[in-house]
Amino acid sequence: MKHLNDNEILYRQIHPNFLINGRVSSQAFRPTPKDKSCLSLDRKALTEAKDSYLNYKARGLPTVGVLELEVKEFQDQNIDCIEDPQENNTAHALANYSNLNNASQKKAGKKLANLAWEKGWAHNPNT
Amino acid sequence: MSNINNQHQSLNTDNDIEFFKLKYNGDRFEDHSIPVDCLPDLIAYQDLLLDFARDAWKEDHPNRQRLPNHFCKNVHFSLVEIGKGSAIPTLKCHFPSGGQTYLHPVHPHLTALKKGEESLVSLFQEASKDNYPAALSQNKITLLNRFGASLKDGESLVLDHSDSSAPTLITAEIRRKLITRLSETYEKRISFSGKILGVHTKNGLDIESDDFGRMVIPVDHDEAKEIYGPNLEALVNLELTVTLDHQDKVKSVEEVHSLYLVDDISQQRHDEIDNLGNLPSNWLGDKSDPPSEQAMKSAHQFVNYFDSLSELFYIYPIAEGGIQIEFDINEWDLSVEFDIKGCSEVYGVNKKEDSKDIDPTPFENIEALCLFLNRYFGAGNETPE
Repeated sequence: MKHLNDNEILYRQIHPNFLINGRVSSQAFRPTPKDKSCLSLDRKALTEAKDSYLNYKARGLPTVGVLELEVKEFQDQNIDCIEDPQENNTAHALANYSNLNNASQKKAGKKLANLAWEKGWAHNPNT
Repeated sequence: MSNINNQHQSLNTDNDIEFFKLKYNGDRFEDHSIPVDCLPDLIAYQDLLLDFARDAWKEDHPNRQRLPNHFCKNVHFSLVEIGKGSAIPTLKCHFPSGGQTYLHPVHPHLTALKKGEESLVSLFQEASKDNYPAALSQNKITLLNRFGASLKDGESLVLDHSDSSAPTLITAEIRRKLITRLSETYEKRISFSGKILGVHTKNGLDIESDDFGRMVIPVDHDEAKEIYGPNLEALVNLELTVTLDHQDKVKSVEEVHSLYLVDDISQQRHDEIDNLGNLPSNWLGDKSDPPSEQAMKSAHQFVNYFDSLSELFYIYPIAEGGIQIEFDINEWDLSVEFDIKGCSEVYGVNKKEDSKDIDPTPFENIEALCLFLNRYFGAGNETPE
């Protein structure tokens, strides 16, 4: 799989249960055990934030909005970002956390969530 | 655990002073201090020593019908220092001068006190091996009920004895088993939250809690009617000394140490925790579970402990049946996570200095977690490097 450019922007869908009282959980930026150390993202180079959101919803997946981060912000946490086009989502990419142990994944999730939240919503249907 | 045998020193240079030492183990005692809640232990320890000393004196003087005048009144203990490791309160025992003879150079009070201490140590040593006396006087049972009543899970009290090869450990469980073998009930200090079900005209408040079921809390009727009457179904936080039976069911409330209404924001956090319990299976896709009862219970306890900070808390489910509470405090972004078994860990990152962080750190119980957070993130406290 091809690595993405440092300055490329990636979108992350936020699950409704990870947005409580106006704050995003760090869990939104770390893989769960079933994700096998990879976080699903969409590439701004290939889709708009709103389309990314609508496409996600159209697949029956819950989301309240889209946050964004740059590839280099993942790399600063020792996380590689690679393209991963799918049949139903050609813009799909993965952030690979497998270089990090569980403890580092949790801390990286916090740092990335804080960075993304500071930038504000890339798309939120309510704003 | 260090052996503290040599910490029981006979320093009676004036022949009228002896030092007795206890040792508290547990997170609450790590900074070599003793919570005020535990001070009744020292009074009970003194009274138990004197009670067993009376028995020893009678044994040594079978022909004497009565104890010497003011046998106990002339002996008094004072707390002189709290030593390190975790916390070792040292009690200085004063007893009347004189009484030694050429044939009996050791003061008779001291002889009786030493024997009394041996008896107390032996009682707990045997109890730790599930050996119990057939009976004890009601006074001793009453004193045992006070001794160690504030011990929490994961904590212990060590009785020292100069002749013992191993320290004698008292835990909440050893204590419970000993007292309930001798009596149908035992006393313990507990803290929990409960819901107000009603205000009794005479008895006080009718409270229901997950941990202890339904109980009536003695409260002044006017106070109950005025403060709690308009808040039926609201949560209250309580700290009580209660009498429990063998099954840990509350039989009666002995003392109310604190009782107050949970504020609206804390109540909201409790509601948020409860609502997470209603999440469906696979709420985050395959293989995700709603929070377990144990995780919810631990989260409730955490919010109770830090109810004054509950405005800062953001509460999320964890896919593996746990609960995450995130909050910012003193430049730190912290996460407290409770897993499916209710076990906790804390981790965090410093929002000002990227190189500073806290690795996920597990805790044996909620008390230890809360003490850690209080110690490092309480107002004005130093944060870890």
